[in-house]
Amino acid sequence: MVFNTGAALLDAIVLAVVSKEEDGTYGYKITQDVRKAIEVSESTLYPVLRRLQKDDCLEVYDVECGGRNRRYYRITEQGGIQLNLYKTEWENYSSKISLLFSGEEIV
Amino acid sequence: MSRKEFMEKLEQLLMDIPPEERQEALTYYNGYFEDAGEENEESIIQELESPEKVARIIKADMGMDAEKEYTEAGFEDTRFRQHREVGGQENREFTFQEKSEAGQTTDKTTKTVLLVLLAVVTSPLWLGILGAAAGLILGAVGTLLGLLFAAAMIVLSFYIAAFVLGGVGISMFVGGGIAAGTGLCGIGLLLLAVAVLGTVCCVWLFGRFLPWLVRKFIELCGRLFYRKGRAA
Repeated sequence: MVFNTGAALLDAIVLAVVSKEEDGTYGYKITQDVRKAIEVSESTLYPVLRRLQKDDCLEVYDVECGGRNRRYYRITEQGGIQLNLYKTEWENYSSKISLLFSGEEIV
Repeated sequence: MSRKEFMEKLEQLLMDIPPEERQEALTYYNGYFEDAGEENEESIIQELESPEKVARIIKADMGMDAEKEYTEAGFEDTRFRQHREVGGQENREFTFQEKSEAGQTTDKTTKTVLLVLLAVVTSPLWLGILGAAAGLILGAVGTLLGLLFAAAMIVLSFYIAAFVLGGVGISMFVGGGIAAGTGLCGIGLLLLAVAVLGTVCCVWLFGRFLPWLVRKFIELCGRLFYRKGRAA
């Protein structure tokens, strides 16, 4: 990929990945899922998750798993609203660029 | 580097952030290693590169949202690689240059405040110097005016003396003292000649010299202020 992923787009991707799991998901799995779509380094996602948590877009809870606590992330109502906003913006942004690339007139 | 070493180093590097933040980060990475499984430990450590890099990313995100950027190659700090994405997150993506400019403004303000303070503290000194300079100029002006006035008075006294001597000489001449009367009249005429010469000098002094001096002085002041204005 030659295009950089900006902070907002990365937020949107993480929110989308987490929102797919109704019962929540955990750091390692989120990283693997995000990597299916874009290439990110292992160290990229922690600050994103932490910030989304602080912004009340994600909530965390611990689940016991194999004798230890695993930290789960789940999307909040506010996170859902934020994700919808990102989706609309992305639709607008990407469709215009796609149109432009296809050679059609932008109306 | 083993996982244990990595985590220990990371904890050490995060000592300067709030304990809660440190604990969160350590919990996350510990869990990450656990979930990845022992077989992936080495590759994860390799991809995380170093505890230093991980710590830097965590710190960069804390209250410094403006300086981070995510790329496919992972995290990149815009302070180290100046880059601006076209459009997008106006609020989040400043370049470091803008930041440093803000810093310089603060520096300037500090400098101004310090200069004002310095001026106030040293005011007895420079007020004294200013006073002395003003006194000197006023003194010079006063002396000059005094000298001019004195010249005029001397000329006037010559006129008076000439007429008095002339009058006395004429009265003596009429009274019979021809020699003394003629002599006094002669001295009176001589003084009159000197007085007329003095008048010519005075006219030149007041009519030409004084206006010239005033003009030169104003020119000098103008040049001084002009230079000051240009320097500021």
